[in-house]
Amino acid sequence: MNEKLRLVLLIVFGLLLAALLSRNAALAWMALPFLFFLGAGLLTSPGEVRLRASRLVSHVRCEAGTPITMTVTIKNDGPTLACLRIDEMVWPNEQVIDGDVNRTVRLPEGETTEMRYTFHAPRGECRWTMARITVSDPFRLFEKKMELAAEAEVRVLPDSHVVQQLRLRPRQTLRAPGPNLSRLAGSGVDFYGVRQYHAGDSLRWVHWRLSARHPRQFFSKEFEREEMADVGLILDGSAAGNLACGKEELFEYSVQAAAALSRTALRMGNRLSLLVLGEHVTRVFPGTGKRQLVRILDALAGCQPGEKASLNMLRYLPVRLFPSHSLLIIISPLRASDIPVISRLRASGYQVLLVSPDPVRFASREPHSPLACRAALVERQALLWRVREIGARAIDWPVDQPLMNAAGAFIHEQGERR
Amino acid sequence: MKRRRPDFHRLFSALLVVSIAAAAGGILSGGPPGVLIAGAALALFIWEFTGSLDHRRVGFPGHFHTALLAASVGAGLLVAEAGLFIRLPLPFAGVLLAGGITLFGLVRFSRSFRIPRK
Repeated sequence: MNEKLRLVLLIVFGLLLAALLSRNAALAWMALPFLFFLGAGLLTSPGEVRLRASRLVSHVRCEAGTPITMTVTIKNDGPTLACLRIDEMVWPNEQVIDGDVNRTVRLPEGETTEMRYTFHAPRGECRWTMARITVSDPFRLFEKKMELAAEAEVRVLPDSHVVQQLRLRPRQTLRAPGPNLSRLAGSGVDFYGVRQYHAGDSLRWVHWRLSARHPRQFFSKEFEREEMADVGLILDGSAAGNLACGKEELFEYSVQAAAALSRTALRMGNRLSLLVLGEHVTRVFPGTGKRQLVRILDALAGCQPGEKASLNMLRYLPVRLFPSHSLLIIISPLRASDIPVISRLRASGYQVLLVSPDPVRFASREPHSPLACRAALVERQALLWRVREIGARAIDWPVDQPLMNAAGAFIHEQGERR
Repeated sequence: MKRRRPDFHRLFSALLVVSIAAAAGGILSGGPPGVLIAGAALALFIWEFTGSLDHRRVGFPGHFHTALLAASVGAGLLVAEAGLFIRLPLPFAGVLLAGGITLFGLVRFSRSFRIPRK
């Protein structure tokens, strides 16, 4: 019994009781329009209900901010329904920008009704399994609620832009053609050196100027071989390091950085793998090309920060995931407890690049004591200094600026050191 | 982002109860019963009509609802007004019995349409 029916019955009971107690027939007659109202509702209430529901989404995979249109279709296979209400389930942080998420219609036998709305969804996986339907009489006194199977799924990928300026410079390369200079002579573009001409060398490689200076001798140019490198991406999804400022979370920036770096590394032609230490440990095994990017973005779309996650989990680092001497890119806000883990990775022979979204500047958007902010900044600088001391490279990323700027500053800094 | 419309349903329900209570009080204090019953029926009509406006905004065809509402409340009002002219002297015990049967009927009526919880 719903609230409306309860109210009408209460009025009828009240009037009849008052009529009995006061022995005034006029009060009993006053209840009659209400009884007729109930009767009309009862006569038009739905009997047998046979409905089918289906969903259609405009995008199955899309980037955050893309408008997604959902169409819910209900087909009536039974008798005419005087009132049918569709109540759509709205996900948290889902913004409906057009259309309605509920609809009330009269649905004649054999006909179909559609409800369409457009929304923006944040990064993540949105899955619908059913449609909530309420059928009733026109006065909505006698209702039947039901859930019809209607499945749909949307995967909202994180924002990712190629970080143009970032040069990964891996020390170890694979014996396969790629973008990284391997410090070995071979076919390439960059000049490597000059050696004596060997039979079979192409005439295009002959260093004519040097050969002219040395009669009866020929010299060939050598080029630096460009090879593919193994890159491992580790995303630190510990809930302790995931600060929240209003509706924004620092973890979202970490995910965006991971997506941008994945796109960059794969576009360069490297072999990339991913390990997400979040609510669940998600692994994507090494691979190359667009398919690998799709796998990685799908994994990043579904990841959430976890209470138990931390970089300490890397103690049980799977051997197959990150080949030895590969370049590991760790995306983490960086805490003091992470330093031994990075140190251990360096000791194992991995080359480490830390990309650290700055939690201090992120949190300082909200009013805090300036002294506390300065103390936190000093502590963070000390942590980054310790990371650099153990031989890892670090990019300090103020999240209010694009990652590209931080990468540019990092390249500039590296150039000055050399 | 779309703004949600405020929900006045509870306010309208409270106004309906107040208007019915006022009409009943008016009858008990000797007011014209025909007018007061018509007033109560009008309050019921307005309450249901305003309650349906939000549903009409999201596609509910209003003409069928309004016609059914007007027919049911109008018929009820007509019978009630006609009933005021019926004078049927009943002993107090008979009234109690009739009241008891009515209450029992209403209770059974309400129970028979209770939707089982899953």
